[in-house]
Amino acid sequence: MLDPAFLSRLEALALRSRSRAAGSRQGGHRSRRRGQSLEFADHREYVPGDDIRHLDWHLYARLDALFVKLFEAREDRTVQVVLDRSASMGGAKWEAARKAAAAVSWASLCSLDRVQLFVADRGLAAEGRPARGRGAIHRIFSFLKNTDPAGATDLLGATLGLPPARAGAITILLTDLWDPAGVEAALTRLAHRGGELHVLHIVDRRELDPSHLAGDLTLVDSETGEELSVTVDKDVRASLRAAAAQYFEEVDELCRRRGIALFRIDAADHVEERLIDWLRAADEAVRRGGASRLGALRP
Amino acid sequence: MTFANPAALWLLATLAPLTALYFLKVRRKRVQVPTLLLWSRVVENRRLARPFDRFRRHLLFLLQLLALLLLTLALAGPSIPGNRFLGRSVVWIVDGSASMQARSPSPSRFELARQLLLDEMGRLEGGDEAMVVLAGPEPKVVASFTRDHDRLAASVRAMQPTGAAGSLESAVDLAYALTRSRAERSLVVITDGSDASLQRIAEAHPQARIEVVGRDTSNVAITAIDLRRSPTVDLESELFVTLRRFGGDTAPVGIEVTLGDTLLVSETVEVPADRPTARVYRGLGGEGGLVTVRLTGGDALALDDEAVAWLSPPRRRRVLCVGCTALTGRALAVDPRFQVTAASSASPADEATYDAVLYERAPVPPRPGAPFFALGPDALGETPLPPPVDWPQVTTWKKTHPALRFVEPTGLAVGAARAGAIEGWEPLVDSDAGALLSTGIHGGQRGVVLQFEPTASDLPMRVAWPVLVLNTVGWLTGEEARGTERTVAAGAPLLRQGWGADGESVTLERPDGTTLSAPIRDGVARFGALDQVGVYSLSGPGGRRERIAANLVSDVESDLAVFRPTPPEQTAVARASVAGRLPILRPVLLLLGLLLVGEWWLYQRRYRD
Repeated sequence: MLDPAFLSRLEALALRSRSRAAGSRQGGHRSRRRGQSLEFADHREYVPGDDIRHLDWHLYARLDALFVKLFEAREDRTVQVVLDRSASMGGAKWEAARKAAAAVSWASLCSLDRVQLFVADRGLAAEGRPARGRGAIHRIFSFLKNTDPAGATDLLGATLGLPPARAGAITILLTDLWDPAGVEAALTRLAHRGGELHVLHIVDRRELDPSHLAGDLTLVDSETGEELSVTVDKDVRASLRAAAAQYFEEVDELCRRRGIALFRIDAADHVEERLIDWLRAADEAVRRGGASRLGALRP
Repeated sequence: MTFANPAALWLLATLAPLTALYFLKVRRKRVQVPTLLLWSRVVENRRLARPFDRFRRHLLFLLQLLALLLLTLALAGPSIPGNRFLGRSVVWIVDGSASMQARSPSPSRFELARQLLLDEMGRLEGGDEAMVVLAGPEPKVVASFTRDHDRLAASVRAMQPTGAAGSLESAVDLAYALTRSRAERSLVVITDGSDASLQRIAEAHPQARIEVVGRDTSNVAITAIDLRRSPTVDLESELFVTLRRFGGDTAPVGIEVTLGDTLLVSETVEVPADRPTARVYRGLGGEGGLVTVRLTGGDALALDDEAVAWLSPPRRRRVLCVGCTALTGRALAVDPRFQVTAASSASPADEATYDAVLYERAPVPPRPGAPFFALGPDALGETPLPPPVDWPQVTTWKKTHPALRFVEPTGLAVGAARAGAIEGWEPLVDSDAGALLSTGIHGGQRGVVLQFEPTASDLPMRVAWPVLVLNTVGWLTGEEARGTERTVAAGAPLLRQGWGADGESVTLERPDGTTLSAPIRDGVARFGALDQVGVYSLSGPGGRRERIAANLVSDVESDLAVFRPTPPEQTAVARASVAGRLPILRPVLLLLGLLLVGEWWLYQRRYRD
């Protein structure tokens, strides 16, 4: 599904979280808990029972008091990958979305995170139990390979089925954001359920600028089968581009307000490169302490 | 709106099936899209912003219907009430008289008329038919009704003016006769206004538009030329020439008179304005030939600056007098032109050696050998004359005939005469009982018959008797042709009798070298008007030849003052245009073209952008 060279590039990248992880197992992410890592966190007064190996002798020499050095704990983190598999995701978008899901799963597994993959349409279905370790990637790849887009979109309904996110968890939503009911409620819910939300907006430039469409047409909605008669000409195509731009601005604004990291990927572009860009941008954003809003693609 | 071809409107019946087919055919192409989310927004926005957009969906079809409608309209030949510059049937009558050759203005009035005509032809519409009539001495249809405007223009370019006086009135009458059945017609007369009948035409035909070309100019012309036998010298001739100045002041004019190539006279004459100046030239010699009078100096019209006359070589005419009485013999003897031979009878072969034969108390043979004058015969060959009647009273006579010049038959007492019409002959003197003197063709020869014996009347006692005999014999021998028949005014028709038997033909060579041939019917060869100025040559059976000089000699044509008729008040508007129907084929076709271009553009914009 993914090129081996691309996989090796992903190993070096991991999706960082702005919040500390709160996993149950030792992992690769800083935790709010103090643990066994080499990274110094704080001092506290010695109490009987503490490991004397953690006594700070330098401080004892200066202050004549016993203090214990506290180290940050390293814990694992849960990455929930939610893949929109509604019928509107068909074609190039589906290929791009599958690649993105596979890539982010691989990168997370390499970071000793637990990865759980969900597919969403009207409801939500989990690929299986949360996976851990690189060996689990084969199961995820196999699942993605055998999944095809179908059915209508109901993002809000689907997200209701998501298990609660622990602190430090990351939810990655891969979708085209075409939801007849609107995406605001769904994204708001996802943003408020805890953890960190990344939205990978998969778009297909050809949908937004349908230069191949002209004349008297009956457009059929791939999800609902609803029909719309329209005469497509230059003006209509321009109107469609304007409507798409406006819709994207609405989405951007929503994500800004909700602190959602939004990244837009064009299925017609080099998806692998865009994914690398996304991961780097997300990392940079975490360093700067803000959400990544890299919706560079504009219709 | 009316239609020239209403049957084409049946094409409209195709609109219904076309509409039905369109709506049955409209199956929109189904295209699956990921979502209608944005499309719905677009459609809704456009619906609100452009409430008439729903019609755009069928705009191409509506344009196609409109195109079909316009095509049907175009095929039906639509027209609306209105005035048009020219009717659908146009007749141009172009003055082809001699004055149209005047160079005022340059190059000539006729060329100006031709250009005007071609300009107006350029304004004809595709369906218009037109005809051109040249008004010469006889109206001539230059191009009959046609819609082939190129052919029409070619005919106009080849059209040439005549050298004779013209008759506009007869040309206009002809044009009206030819267009009587056409409802929407217009007549345009293009003239220099020298025709005296122009005002009458303007009043009689108010619908006709009269275009006057040319401008006033002065002109000196030869208005008469004649050769007459000298009253004082035997076998000598005198040349009479009349000059006239039209417009301008008295001024000297140079005159040259030549006989053949020999210059006889060269002089300068004061020609006053508006008064004829007569000149007589004697001593023309005894050789005969073409006498030419030429005005030197030049003016606007060259045609009337030269005149020619044919001087016959002087010769005594040989006359055979069969059974003549002393009265007749004495009458002939007084004229030195005639050499009379008396005989009691003669064979046709003998007669053929004479210029004329006079029969008195002798039967007229079936085939005389020469032109003849029969006095009181009972029959012409085998054909008897009408039965005798007593005391016929003369009623009319043909004064212009050469045989009756200076003859006054009024009160003639005739005891008995075979008065009555001779079949195919022309009566010269008529009575209450029928013709008394007739002329015609008998046995292939021209003849004159006095239908009573001179001795049965008081004619020999009158002064008219020798005059009648000499006139008739002179006319029959051709002697009278000197100065009359051989010098004619251009435009006169040409008839020749006694040139051969029926079925034979006479050929006329015109001054420009072209030839015409006329068959002899009833003993007469008939040619049309002599419309060129110059010398014509006639040749007939047996090598007979004759030359005729034709001159303009027309005061009307030489007067180059331009006359502009006053249009009748009540028809002033009607003359400017022709009330009728304006064809709107061109606007309809233009609209159709624009519509198709618009449809093409719309199609390209909608489907190709």
